[in-house]
Formats: sequence, C-alpha cells, structure tokens
Amino acid sequence: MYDFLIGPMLAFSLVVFVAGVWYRVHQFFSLSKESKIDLSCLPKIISDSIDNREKDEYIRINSATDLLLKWKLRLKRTFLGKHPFFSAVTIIFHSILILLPIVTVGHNVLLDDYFGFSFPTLSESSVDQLTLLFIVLFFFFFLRRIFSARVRSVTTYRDYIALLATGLPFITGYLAYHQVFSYDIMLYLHIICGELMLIAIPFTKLVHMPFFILSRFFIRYELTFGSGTRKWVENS
Amino acid sequence: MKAVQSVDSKSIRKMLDQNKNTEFFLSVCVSCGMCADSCFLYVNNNKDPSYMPSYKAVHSLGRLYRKKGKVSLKELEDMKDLIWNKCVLCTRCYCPVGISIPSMIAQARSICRSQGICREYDQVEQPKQL
Ligand code: SF4
Ligand code: SF4
Repeated sequence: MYDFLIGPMLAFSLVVFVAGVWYRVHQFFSLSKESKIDLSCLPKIISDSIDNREKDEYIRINSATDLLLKWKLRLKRTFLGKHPFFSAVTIIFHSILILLPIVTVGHNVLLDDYFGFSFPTLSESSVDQLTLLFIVLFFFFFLRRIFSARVRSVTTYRDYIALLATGLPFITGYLAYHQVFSYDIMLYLHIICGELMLIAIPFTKLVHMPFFILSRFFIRYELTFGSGTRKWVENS
Repeated sequence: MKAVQSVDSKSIRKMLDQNKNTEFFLSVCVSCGMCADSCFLYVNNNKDPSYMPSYKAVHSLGRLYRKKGKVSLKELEDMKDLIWNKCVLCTRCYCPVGISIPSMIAQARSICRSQGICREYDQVEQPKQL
C-alpha cells in the first residue's frame, strides 16, 4: 500500500497537477492578449503624475521617521494597511502552505530517492510547531467562513472543498507525527490527502494559486506587480 | 399594460459562452470577502453583504452560469436591483487575487438587457433610512 501511494499514485498526482496547471496557464494566455502602451506618448501631465506617485514627492524625506511615515501612507492605501491583522494571517497561512512541505525532512528523503536532489530542511520540532500554527490559522479561516456575514453570503460548498483540501494534509500529517490513532493509517491518509490536494489545485478554487501570479504580474491595472503588459480579451 | 415577456435561455447561453474570462473569474473567486471594503457602496450601506462586489457578481452572473441560462423572468428582475442599483461600475473594487469584478457585473447587465430588463429611470425611490 505504502509503495503504491508513494509510487504510481504520486506520479499520477504530479502528472495531473502539472498538466492541469499547464492547461490553466494556457487558458490564461488565450483569454488575454498583449497590449503595450508607450508611456512617452501619454500627455505630459499624466506621465508626470505617474512619476510623482512613484517618488511620493509630496513627502520630503529627511529622517527615518519621514521614511516610516511614507511607508505608512503607502500601506494605508492597500489592504495591508487597512486590515493588518487579516493580512498577516493570510500571508503567514499561504507562506506556510507553500514552504513547509518543501522543507520537511520526510519529503526531501523521497525527493532525494527519486530525483537525486533535495532542499534545505527545518528541524522536526520547528516543522511540528509551524504545522500547529497552520492548523490554528486553518480553523480561523474555517470559522470566518461560518461566522462572518460577508464571507458567508458568498460561500458555496466549493469553497469548503478548497479549504478542506488544503487543511487535511497538514492535519493528518500532524496526527501521524504525534502517532495519534494508528501511525500507518494516518500516514496513508496524509499521503492520500496531499496527493488529492495536488490534483485539486487546477480544478477547484485552489486554481487561484497559479491565477494570482498570472493575473497580478501580467495584466495591466493599478494593482499589477511591476508593469503588466496584457489585458483581458472581452469576447473570445 | 406590460407585455408578457419570456426568457430566451438559448441566447443567454450563447452570450455566456462568448465570454470565457468571466467564467474563469468565477471559478477562481475564493469568496474571501476582501473586496468588500473597496466598494464605497458597501462601506456606505451599513456593510450590507449584498453590496459586496463579489456578492453582486456571484449572485447575478454566477447564477446565470450555474443555471446555464435557464432562469426565470423573476430571477432576472431580482438581479436588476443588484447590478444596477447596487453597483455604478466605477471599477474601484480591489480583488487581491486579480479578478475583474466590474466586467462580470457589466456582462450580467448585458444579458439582462438582451432579455428586455434594464434600469428604469422613472422609478420613484424611497428615501433611505440610515
Ligand atoms: S472577488 Fe476577489 S476579493 Fe472578492 S471574494 Fe472573490 S477572490 Fe475574494
Ligand atoms: S464597480 Fe461596482 S462593485 Fe466595484 S467598487 Fe464600483 S460600485 Fe462597487
């Protein structure tokens, strides 16, 4: 059973994950098109205001306090400044979600076996504590979905599927490590849940993982990281 | 007297199929509610969830996709309030995931208009209790 789960089943999940994400990336590029603008063609007043906004010229920076004030004002315009608590929660949640599986010793042993390379690892106790933190944040999101009126008003079963798909691999991994119930069964469940999560990424709302990167880096609008060069095609 | 209208589901379906990016947006929206505070109408209406950008998109265009265009006239009428009275398409809403919410609401408007449902400018509005 174990050999099957970390052998053919793992290979199948990885193939579905990569092919699914590739399909989604392809979909993104077919739904958007390249559209460059030449900044030098803009009326001077607009290019000047873009410049000024970049430099924040309305604040003269003479000291460290000014610099802090500048960043405070900048942040105030963003979600980070408006909702610092929720921003911190979501950033920590997503960072652990992506980084923790990469720095876990057990995963790197497998990686080394199959591909002959591995990533730096964290000690087991740190991984254990971070997993616990992740599970706490997972329940925060879960309860928020149930009790926050604005979130509840748009929640469907698909949102719970996406949330469970991310939470279960961590919960089962934590239980397996602490040998709650039977270690073997928990380990099997952990592997199955992890593989299901990989498969779920391109086909459930977890697709926001590749979409976030594509949309925020490539589409040009006020929130682009960098200078987006594409725009959505209206009628395809 | 108002003429009896019927909904042409096929043409709604066709309009839905033409615009694939809004379908993509709907499949990506994680219903996180982060877009709420970026809409001035949400902020100024006692934080009523029905003014939240994603609520307006999910309960108009989202419903049309879910039902594959097979909606009743009454459902389109209900959408009318959501997409005309509760959104001015100012495009100021912010989605951290990168979804364009106004384009979904605009598409829902086009579909409603194609079925003869649109904003009535001669409506008398009751003053709002704040
Ligand atoms: S539109 Fe964006 S911000 Fe709003 S609920 Fe959906 S994913 Fe969240
Ligand atoms: S476009 Fe509509 S939903 Fe978005 S901020 Fe403006 S009024 Fe609100």
